[in-house]
Amino acid sequence: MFNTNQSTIPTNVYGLSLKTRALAHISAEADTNRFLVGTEALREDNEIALLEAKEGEGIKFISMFSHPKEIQSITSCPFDQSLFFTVYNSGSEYKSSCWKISDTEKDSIEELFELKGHSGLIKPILCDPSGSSDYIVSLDDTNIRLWSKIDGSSKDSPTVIKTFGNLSKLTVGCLNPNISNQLATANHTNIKGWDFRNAKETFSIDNAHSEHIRDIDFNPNKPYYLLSAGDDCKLKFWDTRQTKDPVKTFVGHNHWIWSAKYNKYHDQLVITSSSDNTVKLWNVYSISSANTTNTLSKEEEEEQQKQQSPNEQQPQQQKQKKKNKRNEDQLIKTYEEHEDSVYNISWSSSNFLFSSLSYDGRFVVNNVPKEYSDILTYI
Amino acid sequence: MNSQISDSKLVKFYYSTWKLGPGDFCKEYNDDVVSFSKFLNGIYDSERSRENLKKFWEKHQTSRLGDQSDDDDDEFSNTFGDNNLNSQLSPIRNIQSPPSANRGLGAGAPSAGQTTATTGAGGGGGKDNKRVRNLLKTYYGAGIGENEPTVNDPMNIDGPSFNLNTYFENIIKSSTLPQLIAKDNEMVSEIRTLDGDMKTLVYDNYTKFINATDIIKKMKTNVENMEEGMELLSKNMDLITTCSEKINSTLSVRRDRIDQLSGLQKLLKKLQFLTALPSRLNHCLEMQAFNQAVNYYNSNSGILKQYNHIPSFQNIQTECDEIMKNMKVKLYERLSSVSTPKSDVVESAEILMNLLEPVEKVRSQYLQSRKLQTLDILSSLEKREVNSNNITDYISDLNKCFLSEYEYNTSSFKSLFINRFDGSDSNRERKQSSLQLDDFSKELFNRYLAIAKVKLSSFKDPEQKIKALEIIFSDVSKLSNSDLTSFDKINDIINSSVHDQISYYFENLQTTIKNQIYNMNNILNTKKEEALEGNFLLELSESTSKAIIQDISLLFKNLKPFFLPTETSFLSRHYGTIFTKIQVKLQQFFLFLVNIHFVEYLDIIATTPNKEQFSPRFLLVLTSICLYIENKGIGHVVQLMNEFISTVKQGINSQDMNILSFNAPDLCKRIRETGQTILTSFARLKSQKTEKILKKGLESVPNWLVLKEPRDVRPVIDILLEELSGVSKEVSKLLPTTSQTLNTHASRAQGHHRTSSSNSNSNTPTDIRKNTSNTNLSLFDKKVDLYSQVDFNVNSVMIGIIKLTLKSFMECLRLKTFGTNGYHQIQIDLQYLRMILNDMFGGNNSFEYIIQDCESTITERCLDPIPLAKSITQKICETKFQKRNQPNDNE
Repeated sequence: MFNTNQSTIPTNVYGLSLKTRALAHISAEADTNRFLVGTEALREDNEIALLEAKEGEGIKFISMFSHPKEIQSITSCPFDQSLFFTVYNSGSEYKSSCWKISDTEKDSIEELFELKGHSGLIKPILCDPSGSSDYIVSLDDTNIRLWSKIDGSSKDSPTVIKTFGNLSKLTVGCLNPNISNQLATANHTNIKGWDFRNAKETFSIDNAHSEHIRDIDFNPNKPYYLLSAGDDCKLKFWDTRQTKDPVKTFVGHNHWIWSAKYNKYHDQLVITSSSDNTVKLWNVYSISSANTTNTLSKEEEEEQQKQQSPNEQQPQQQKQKKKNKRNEDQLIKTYEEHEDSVYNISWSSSNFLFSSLSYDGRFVVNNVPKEYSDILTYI
Repeated sequence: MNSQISDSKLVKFYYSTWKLGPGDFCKEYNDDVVSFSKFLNGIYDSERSRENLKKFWEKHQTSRLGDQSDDDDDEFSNTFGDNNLNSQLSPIRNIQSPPSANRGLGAGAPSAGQTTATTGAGGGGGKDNKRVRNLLKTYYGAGIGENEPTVNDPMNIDGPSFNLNTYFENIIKSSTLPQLIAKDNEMVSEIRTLDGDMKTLVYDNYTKFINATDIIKKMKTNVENMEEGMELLSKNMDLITTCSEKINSTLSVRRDRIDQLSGLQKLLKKLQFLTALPSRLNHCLEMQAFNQAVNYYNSNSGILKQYNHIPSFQNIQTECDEIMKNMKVKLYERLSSVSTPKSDVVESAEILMNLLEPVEKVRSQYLQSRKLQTLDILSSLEKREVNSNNITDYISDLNKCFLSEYEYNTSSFKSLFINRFDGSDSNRERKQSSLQLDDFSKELFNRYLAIAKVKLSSFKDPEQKIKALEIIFSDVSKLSNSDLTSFDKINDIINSSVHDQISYYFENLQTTIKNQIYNMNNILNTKKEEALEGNFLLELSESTSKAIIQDISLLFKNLKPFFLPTETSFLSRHYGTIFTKIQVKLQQFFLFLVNIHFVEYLDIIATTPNKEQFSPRFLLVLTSICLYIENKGIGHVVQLMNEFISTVKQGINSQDMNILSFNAPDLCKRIRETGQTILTSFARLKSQKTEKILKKGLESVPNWLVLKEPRDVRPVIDILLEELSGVSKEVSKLLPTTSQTLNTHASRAQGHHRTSSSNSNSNTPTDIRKNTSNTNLSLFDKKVDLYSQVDFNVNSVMIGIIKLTLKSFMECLRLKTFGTNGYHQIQIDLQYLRMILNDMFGGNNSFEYIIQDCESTITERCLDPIPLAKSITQKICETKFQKRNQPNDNE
């Protein structure tokens, strides 16, 4: 089922013929920007497309795997690029399985095991962000499950170590890459923090949003910072130590925000996707890790500059001004390539490249505008 | 020879010889008078006149020959050649011959006259007076009227050329006897009087002579006596001189001694004064009579310095210097002490200057002490608490204290340091002094102004403030030396306080309006649903809007005092800036109100988690306020402003002000935009509520896969519709419905919905592909108007809400999986919704697209999408529709 859209001209758009909802970046491959896109068609043969985005070359189609059921979500295993989890709708119920891309046979995948025991809609599977295969976390509508170590070769299903939560309307979860064993979940309008080893609640943000929360994400570089977004069209930033009020709130989307992600390296950059068919790139410099570290180094730099020669202060100041523009918390850009709700979005291995996927099967790759990406690399 | 006589000589001869007029000559020689007189005057034309004159001359010569000797002829002609010489050389002949020049008469006349007078007989009576006068004249030596023609008359008895013989002959010949007798008598009597006269004259002279001799005799005797006296006198004088010389020589020795002694005494006195100088100075110091001490010292320091080499003098000098040093120290103390009265300070400074202390030092000391004192005064004033009523009193006090002090300082400084020098380097000094004074006064003045400003800024009553400002202005401008800098400062302070005041008003306005709106919200919150009754919402919005406008008009009222012509003439030159300020502020205010404050609520609503504080209804009322301000408020404010301008213009007449064009249309546009934004937010908020209803409805069904065959529209749709009509009702309280009213389009809408429903019903599983490809197109259209701003009418708001609700509903549907019955159920629900919405708003395509999208979505999300027969959905929906309309009809 190839899309007619394929052409030799470099393009940042790739179209799938079926409806799509699931998107995953293969984080285990650090050199290439590879993505898995899963289709969502109830009565048809679903597929998973392996796509690669290269700078200047657009999107390249790599491979296509057939998947038996419509896919709700894909999670690529950070420890093994050939492994990924899918959550899929079997018609009567939702299931989650681990798949392995076959080394020998082209365009085929093999189901390793199924994570059994869920009820209701299974949320995207969570893998250890540090890249280990020690555990995975799964969420359904009510419970959180911690699973044991995964062995990529064996077909034995990991066992459930812990089941906890017992919440209603769980929507999404996120593991904190900076604090081990910390998990945040969103149920309806509330956010909760967990120590999943002890199954204990560590923090709680009640009524974080006025409507359903659709995505949460931990700041990859600052341990206590968390973002959340949802049906009230707002993007909020939280300090988990001080949960009474959000640290920052962005309003800009016209409809529900479905996905919101921190850039892994430059956590002042955040992308959101919404059912108003747009993707937005935000700058949250004030509460990013860049803010504190850079100010220190900048001061040092300045001091050095002053000592060296006062003549060079002028260009330095001009540079400062440029930086200042970059330091403002604001919407950087709205991407409007999509014509249907954008349900999923993902950063890539490249620092400033991200992909988005809309329901009508359109997969788009975009870059952070030059004035932001350049200066960031410069730092 | 005779013929050779020239014409001029002839005329001369005629004049000297002929004693009668030219008329007589002409008669005698039978000549023409006119030509003859011409001849006489030098025009020798008339031959006849020449001949006659020659005849006259020959006749005269012949007659003379008969009287005198012949030899006279040659002489006569010589006489005519040089008459003057002859008359002097020969006086005798001069008497005999007729003299031509009158000059000769003076010398020889007396004797001749006398003789002729005595000898000659008198002529006519008229001639006698003349003759007597002439006699007197000759006697007294005066020569007047000698040139009478009668002088040469030989008949004139008194004349010098009297010819006795001719006279006698003439008388004898011409006179009768009686005449001769009479003449004789006359002459006799005349001779007698003349004799008498002579006799008296002789007698007189004689007596005079006798007297003179007597006097001479007397004098002779007297002078002889005097000589003796004189000799005696000279002798005595010699005696006196010798005596005085003697005395002088004896006394001179003593006199020198006395001189020496008196000099010594003076010196001693001076010395005594010098020795007493230290004690005297001390005394002066004790008495605080510094001035005198300085006088003493200054007058003596020169001497002391001169005799410095003498030890005792040196001692005195050192002692004096010591004292003076003390005194200087004391003076400096006095100068710098705060407690010293200001007159003493000036005195001290002056004395120090007299002591030749360095000017810079004294000057700086002086200034410092004055500064301290003035600052003292100022700070004491600053500390004073001011009541709200007496700012003017306070300011006038402040002015009285400070300005007098200030003026005293500058004037005393000027008299001390600036006006005293007149040497060569004084210009420089003076300049420096002036500079220092400038600095000094500037600093103090700034302090003063700062205090005034601070005090003023705490007052908000415009009248008081203006009065206070006026006091400051007038007092400061009264200052004699108010230079430009301080004037600028004054302007600054006036400007800033006026601007403060204006800003204050506007801040006040902002806060009051904030409060108005806050209160309005509170009312809304407390009233809750009651607010929907009657026209409450409209009244509330109007009252709030009116209150806002009222506040603005109050502001103008408050600003008026600044422009009242009588009181605030000093403000008039600031009118331009003040006015600009007001306008700018006003514009800013509206922008604040609209662009910041109102939108702020949107932010608050967006960021605060608890929605209770600001209900969507609040936004609705806010929109209505925006509309009110746009429609009426701005116009009213512009009118107010124009009125204000006209009053202001009356106040200042000719001053042309920089009237900014108060950009009302732009403001209106902005307000309208804001209103629209707010209304759109309202629609969003409302749609959130409605979409929640649908979402809950979907979620309330645990499993859409297993469901009974639908018989009716789900009740959740009714709830939705109810909510929508509630919103519609709420909005219609404040906003108009469009021209598109519901009823007129009802029938047409129904017809339309049938066709469209049949379209959608024809969707079979085989059409799904087509449908999917269609979605891209329809989604593209949707994108255009799905999130667009709503307009100020009920329909637009409602359509906005419904579109968003349906969009969200579709999103929810996408997440579900349906069984056939579930699919049917949603199909029925959608159909019913379509029917109702078409009924309400007519065939609005934007609904149709979304509803179709929803339908295609459920088809996709259905495991086995076998659409319900068209007739069944139709039937169910129509029954439901009628049921729904039934109670409405009954109402």
